[in-house]
Amino acid sequence: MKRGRKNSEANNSSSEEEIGGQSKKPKITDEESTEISPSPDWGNLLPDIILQVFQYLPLLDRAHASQVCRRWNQVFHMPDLWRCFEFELNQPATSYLRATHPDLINQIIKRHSNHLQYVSFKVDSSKESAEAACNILSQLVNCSLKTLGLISTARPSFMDLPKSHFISALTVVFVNSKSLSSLKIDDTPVDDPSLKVLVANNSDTLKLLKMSSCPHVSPAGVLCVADHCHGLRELALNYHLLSDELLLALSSEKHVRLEHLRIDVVSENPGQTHFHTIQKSSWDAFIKHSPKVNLVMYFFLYEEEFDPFFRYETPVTHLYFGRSVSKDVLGRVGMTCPRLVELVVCANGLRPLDEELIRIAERCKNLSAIGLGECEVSCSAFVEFVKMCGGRLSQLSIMEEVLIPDQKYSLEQIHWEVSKHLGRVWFPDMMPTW
Amino acid sequence: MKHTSIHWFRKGLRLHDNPALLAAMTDCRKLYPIFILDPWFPKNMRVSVNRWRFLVESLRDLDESLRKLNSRLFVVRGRPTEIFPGLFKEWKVTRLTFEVDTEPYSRQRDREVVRLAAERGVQVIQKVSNTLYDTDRVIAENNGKVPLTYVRLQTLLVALGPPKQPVPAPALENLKGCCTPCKDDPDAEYGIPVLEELGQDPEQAGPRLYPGGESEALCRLDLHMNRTAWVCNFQKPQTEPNSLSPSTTVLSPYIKFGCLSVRTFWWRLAEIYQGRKHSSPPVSLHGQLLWREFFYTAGAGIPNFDKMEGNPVCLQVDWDDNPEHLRAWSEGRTGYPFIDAIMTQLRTEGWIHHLARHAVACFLTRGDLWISWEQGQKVFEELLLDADWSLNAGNWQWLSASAFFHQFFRVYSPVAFGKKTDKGGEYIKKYLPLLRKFPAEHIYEPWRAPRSVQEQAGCVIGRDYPKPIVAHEVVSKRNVERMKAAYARRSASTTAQPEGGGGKKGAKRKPLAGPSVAELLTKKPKTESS
Repeated sequence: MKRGRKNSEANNSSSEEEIGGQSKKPKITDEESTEISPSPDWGNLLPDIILQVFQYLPLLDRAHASQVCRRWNQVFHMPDLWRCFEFELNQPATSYLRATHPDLINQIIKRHSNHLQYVSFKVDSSKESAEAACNILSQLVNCSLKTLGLISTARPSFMDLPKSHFISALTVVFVNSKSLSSLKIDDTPVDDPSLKVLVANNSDTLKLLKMSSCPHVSPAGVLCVADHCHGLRELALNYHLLSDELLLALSSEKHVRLEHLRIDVVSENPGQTHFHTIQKSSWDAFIKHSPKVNLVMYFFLYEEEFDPFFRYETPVTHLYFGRSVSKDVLGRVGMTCPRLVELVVCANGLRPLDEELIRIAERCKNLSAIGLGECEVSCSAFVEFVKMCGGRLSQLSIMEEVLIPDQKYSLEQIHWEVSKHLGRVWFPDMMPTW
Repeated sequence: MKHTSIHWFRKGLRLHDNPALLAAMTDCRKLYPIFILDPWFPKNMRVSVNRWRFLVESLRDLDESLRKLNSRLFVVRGRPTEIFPGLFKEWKVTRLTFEVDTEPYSRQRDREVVRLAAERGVQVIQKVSNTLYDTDRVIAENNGKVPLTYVRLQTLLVALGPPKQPVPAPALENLKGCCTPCKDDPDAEYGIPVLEELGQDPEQAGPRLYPGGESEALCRLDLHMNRTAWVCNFQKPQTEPNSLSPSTTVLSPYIKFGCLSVRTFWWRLAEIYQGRKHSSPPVSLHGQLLWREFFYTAGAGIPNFDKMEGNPVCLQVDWDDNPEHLRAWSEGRTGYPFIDAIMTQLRTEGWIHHLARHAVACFLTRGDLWISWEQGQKVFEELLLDADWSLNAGNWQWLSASAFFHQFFRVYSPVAFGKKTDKGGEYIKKYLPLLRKFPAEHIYEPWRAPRSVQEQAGCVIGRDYPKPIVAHEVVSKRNVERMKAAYARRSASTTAQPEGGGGKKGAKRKPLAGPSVAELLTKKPKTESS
């Protein structure tokens, strides 16, 4: 914008614009104005208009725009533009990506902390970054946050902090916000007492809680959340926090229908984790209360640890086997998971999964997505599988080395057959030959 | 008019299928075949001594072949843009020929050279012979877009027809009436360099498994092409990454330097395939050449193809920066014998099987260490004999699920993957001799072996051989989440999200509370830590 334009010129046409409002500029038939006003006076637009435009701009562009004139600068600092912020905290010496400048952080805390509503912290592997995040959290005293996300981009650096330090910072937010709706605190040292504080202040508003890999929380702690936060729609946690009581609490009459429950079943040392069982009746009650819920289960177990699972009908919809899972277990999955929508098997073994796949096609009538990594399936069985599922398979991600050619089909023919049954062109996933 | 021609060898270190060289010889009175050795490279680029040796051998071979035609190779030291004006003048050059190279650095250099030539009235002839097809033509055929799947490329190529036939190597007839002034400079200024000149110590080089040069390339080609059944049945994914001697052709270094023409290779295969049942792309040998074509086309058409930032097809990921882990991976001391054996073979011999490349690439990036693929790319660039810019960049992005490939649930287990083709761990024992006495049941995971077994094997984990630097079970789970988050971020709209800030402390301009927000957001160029 040309800085050369004088303010006096601006004043001539400004009145027209203020009256005229947004879009239309009144025709220049005005006898008072003999000169033809070449362009609108951008500096004097209504603040609301500037605000609307600014809302479409990313922060950097907005910041540049804010340097144009005083009016634009004022708008730049209006609360509406400071509702969302993502603090990126990295150590410059080791980090790959840019960090939010400390001065900017200070400016935001000073001028805009009470405007912030949707906040996230992205933190790298270093303890210093996690500390910095906590420092900022502790200063959000005037904030009424609706969303808070703590994201560890590599190693869980929040776990390196002294627990009390982290808890006190988090508690500042819990106590001051009183209207937290969405909270993501995976991989942090959050504990039962702090969850109690969360509940005491935000039970009416909490809708989403993600706390996978939070080792200091106990089943009782989560139960407290379920008992009091009746609006909770989305929950993510590790299997050791799941209990019959929890499922029943989530299914109580006062509780809304749950939309999304994600459970991580993780074992880090073979044979060292004991997995308790959940009663079938608890699952039944759960589904009765929330018939449309997405139940997502991630399994990172050793082959021999699957004993307690898939012994009776389990209402899982999205199943992900992150490590090697045996034929036997996959066979049980076919028998016990009628609600299954998506299945990913990262690795199996060297024996073909023909029967298991066909059983899944038969009995999991809702299956629409499947991904097979290091597995083996004979081409004939695979074609049979696809034929049985038909067009409902919207995602079919099979690595090319999974398919074993047999008498009936070679690798070339298979892509035609499968495409035919799917009703669209399909190829297996390839890895390039380097 | 009778020309004085310079043929500039860069890649394409061969006489067969070299249309630019033939063009140089047409209507030519004097011919100067040159190779330019830019001293910047040995000084500033990390390249292993093995690859320098391969290059030197290739140049020597080229010189010998040219001498049979009463010509010779001139190895000129200097930067191309600086020395060409001098050469044009001194040799009274009227024509310059070279093979098209689609890499960004090469394109820039060639543009500059073409300009210099035009200024001096030197005719320039460029010919495509490094790739099966003209990559620009392929992209044009795809409406100006780079094909992002192998299948798409195949479809496009069908429309273009088979690749051109290779042209024959020049014979003495082609040089009738043409001579190369061999008498000037008896090997002094323009001779073939020795490793020491390149700052390399020949003692450090690994075993000479793959001698460089066109002669060796054609010899190996014949050897492999004679195995008709093997050629017809070749399915690359079925070959073994950890066999004791290579299970694939290892023609890749020769193709990288252009000692072997891809068109020649293609048509030799076609001859063998003729009338016989054979495997098909992508797994066949033809398929291999198409993979190379795929990545060359991508590299030619995608900006910043060797980086994450500014690369429109590449997933933006919060990779970790961990020099300690990177070094351990690069030097083969991760504590995972399969990974370490592969990296050892790579460092000493300069070649590893493609599935081995997959395993270590996945381990470095999304599988285990969560380090950027750009770092891995640099290490491969340094150590591989067949390090080819486009292929290196493309494959690293593929393996890290950053581009072209998104099924990140397929992770290579550093323990289980190698076991499938080498239960006894012979490959590990060959390249990591200190683990030789471990029994087969423990050799892939020696840290799990009881102390007594370790003592007996004469190798205690943590003392003689490192403990695993990460626990695969723990990190792989976390990494899956990271990949998911990166993909989710990609699909989230950018307008609503505010961006985080950059790191520059700008000069204080406005009186408004110190540096402006814009200044605080402006990106500071990242300083490379050495």
